[in-house]
Amino acid sequence: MVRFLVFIIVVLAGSGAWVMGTLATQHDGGWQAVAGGTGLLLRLCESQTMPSASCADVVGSRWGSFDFHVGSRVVNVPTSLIGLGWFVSVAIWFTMVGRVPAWSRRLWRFVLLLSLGSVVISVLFFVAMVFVVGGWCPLCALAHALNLGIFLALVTLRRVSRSRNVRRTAGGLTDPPAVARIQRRLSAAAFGTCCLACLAMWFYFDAVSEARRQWRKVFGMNQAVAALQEDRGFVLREYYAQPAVFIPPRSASASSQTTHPVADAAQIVMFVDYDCTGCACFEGRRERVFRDAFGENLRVEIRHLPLARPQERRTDNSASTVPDLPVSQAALAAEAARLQGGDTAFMRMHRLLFEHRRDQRGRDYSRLAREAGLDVSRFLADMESDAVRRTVQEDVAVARQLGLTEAPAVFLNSRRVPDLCVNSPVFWPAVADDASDVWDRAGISAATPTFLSGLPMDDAEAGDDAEDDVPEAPAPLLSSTSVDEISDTELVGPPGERRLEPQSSPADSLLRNTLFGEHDMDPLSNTLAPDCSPVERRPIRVDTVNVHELDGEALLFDPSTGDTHRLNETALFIWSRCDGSHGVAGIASALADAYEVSEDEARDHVQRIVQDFDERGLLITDE
Amino acid sequence: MNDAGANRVGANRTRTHVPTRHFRIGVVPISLTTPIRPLMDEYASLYRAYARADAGSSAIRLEVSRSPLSLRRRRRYRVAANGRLQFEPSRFEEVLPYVEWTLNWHVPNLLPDCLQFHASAVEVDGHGVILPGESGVGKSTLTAGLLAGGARYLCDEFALVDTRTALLQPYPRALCIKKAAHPVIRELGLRLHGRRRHVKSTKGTVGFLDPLSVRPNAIGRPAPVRFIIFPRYIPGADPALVPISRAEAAFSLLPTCFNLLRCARPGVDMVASLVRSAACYRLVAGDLSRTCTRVLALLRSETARSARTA
Repeated sequence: MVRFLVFIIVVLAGSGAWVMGTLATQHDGGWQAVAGGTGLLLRLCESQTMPSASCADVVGSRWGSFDFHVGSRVVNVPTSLIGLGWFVSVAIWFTMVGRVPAWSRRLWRFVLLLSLGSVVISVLFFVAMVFVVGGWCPLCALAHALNLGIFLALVTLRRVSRSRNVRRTAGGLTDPPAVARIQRRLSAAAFGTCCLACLAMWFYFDAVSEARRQWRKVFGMNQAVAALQEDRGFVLREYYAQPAVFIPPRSASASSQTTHPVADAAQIVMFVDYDCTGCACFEGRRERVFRDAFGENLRVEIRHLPLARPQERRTDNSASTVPDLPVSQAALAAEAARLQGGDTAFMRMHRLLFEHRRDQRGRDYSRLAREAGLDVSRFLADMESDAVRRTVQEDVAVARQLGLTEAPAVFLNSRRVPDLCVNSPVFWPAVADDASDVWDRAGISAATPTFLSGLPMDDAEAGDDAEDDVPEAPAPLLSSTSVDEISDTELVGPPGERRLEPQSSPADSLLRNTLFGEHDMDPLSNTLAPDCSPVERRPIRVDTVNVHELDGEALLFDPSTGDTHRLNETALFIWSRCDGSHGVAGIASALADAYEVSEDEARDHVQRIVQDFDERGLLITDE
Repeated sequence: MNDAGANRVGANRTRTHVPTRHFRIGVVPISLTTPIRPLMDEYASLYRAYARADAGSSAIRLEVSRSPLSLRRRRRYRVAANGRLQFEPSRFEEVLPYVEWTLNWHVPNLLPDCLQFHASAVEVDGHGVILPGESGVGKSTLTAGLLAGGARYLCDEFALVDTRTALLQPYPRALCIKKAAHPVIRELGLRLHGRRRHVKSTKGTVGFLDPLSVRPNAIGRPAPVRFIIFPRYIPGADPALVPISRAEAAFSLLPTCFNLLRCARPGVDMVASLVRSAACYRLVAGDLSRTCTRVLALLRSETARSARTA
């Protein structure tokens, strides 16, 4: 009976600690964050059966926390934290001591008085909650009920212990002194542990609060990124803001390449590293993502970008045409498989290499070759061959030309797909739809020359039958979003970054017009119309801007925005000539004369400053 | 007695029970109403030299009270200005700094013709010196040092320049000195006001220095701006005064102006005019006494030179 009561008290105290801990974590404003129900107890407050529950009101009331002045600091201690300390202390005491010895009346009195005091406080808080704050918090009520239960259990335990003690004394039995000493020591140990536990709870609460704040920040950031990734317009804009680049095709001798039977397929070039976690993650869902978005209307070419890591990397200087480029054994294995078994074997090896990425002793290439159904001795010899190594090194060289430093790097129709878009759930379907829209609008059949030849989505169907069809022209720009969306991004970029190839198709020209706003472009000849040469701009300053010349420099105040700008001597020189009668070339010429700099340098300077003035709204716009 | 009469009597009784005192600190009239006796006593002793029988109808009406006892809400102090609640500090130590802060917010409304800079200002031989800068650059401590070195005090934290006359106006509030600077202030032989600890939210523990406790004639008169010095306290650095261009000075001075947008173009014109008529420096402030000696030597030599030229 005694043990059962002790067990009951420990269970009640543990439950009370759980309830109080749950409440304590809600004091740093976390209530709203979990509203909607994470956690068993917190759902009580959100329960439909208790529409009047207002846990947040009760926790946030003046009875929910108390201020303690520590030096010049005010420490706000939640009431629930004090309750947590009480319940934990009771639980620890009865777990360690078991029960208060029956012969110690003083100790019993102390324990009962303490428990009675806590019950009185519980009643006071309950009254304050219901009648003063006017709220109803089921968790608080539960904690008070548990406290009352502990008190009742203690009283029962006292009675049972006393009656047992009386029986034992009547039978001539007394507690041996050694046991009494042990009980005292245990009591002292339990008391000390309780104090330490309370202290630890205090620090723990601080740490939990801080951790929760940090988590909210990270969580908010993740949510923001996820929101961006789910924004169709944003991901398309990000993608189309990337410059179209020329990706040199592989030399025909370097690898066997195939052409997909569908000529207007979208083309993807992926640079992968077989030791890269990101590549492995993307590879796991690549096929499904691409198939859902493009169906069979897609070509994928996989190239190698072994990142510089010490293991499995070596530099070849012997017979390679591209010396000093890192290759990885995995990339060599993939290309060796292609050399022996074509694209089917390559894809099989490609998957095996990712699957065995984390083998404890490194990849066993002989075993992988056997699994891929290859001739192992030939495979191992091919791995050491110059042809295979040269293929990988060519890929690395191309990647360096493109400025790639991380894998996976995915190019769709000559544009780099930003990392944010690669993992976006909406990007691939959106870009596929968008592409088809633009093709429909252009009314052009898809007889576009392509430069990429690569792997079809389903390598089993494609086989090795189509070979050596490597067109030279680059891929066209496939699609666009609206003109407004794109022009904002593109027009401010340096024009030199767009490497548009000369042999582009009419579709290319039309789409380029859509993307870059080059409306004067002749879609057939792909050249600028002769009467569309740009007219030299004559910048005019906004006359409401307030100018104060101070020792050769100037202070500009724009009353419309409240912005102030400081101009140095040359900027003031240019500003003073922005009167509509001087063109940029004229100003540059005057600047070159006045400051003895070259015309080119002066022109660059003037253009930059005028652009700067423009961006700050200091010049009258062309309209 | 009818209901209206009862209300009036009640209102009168309330008014007579809550003490009100009036002050005129430089160009700023203030009336403070508070039932909190320690606060009133402290404020009255800090600004005893500026006490007036009546501050006039245009005065900034400050009211400090305590929120009523409630079982549902914690009790707080309430600082209101012109009938609008501004702050609710929880501790008494925070009340006086918040009262000062409230004043800062209302001075621009009271003096629309003045440009207000986040700066300290002193007067040396009739020449005004502005020390603008962000919080923490050492304005107040430097001002206290200059005051101890013989300069006359115009204002701390809040420099007022009349746009009509281009004169620096005195607004001699008590200097607010951070706790870290208290030993240096004591080394200069200056004594902070009272023994009570004050806590300002952004500055931590602060103390107030009554400029009149330095010497009776420590308060300056309206003066034209002749020097603009941007101080920056760097612990252990050798004090250095570096001349700067007027454009740089104007560009640095503009962000310290509280009511630039309200003044708009005239305000910028005034700033340009100020930097044209003043010598502008950046000051690296290290040891306070050496820094003050350096600054005062410069001010006096320039003043003497301009007097000879005149």
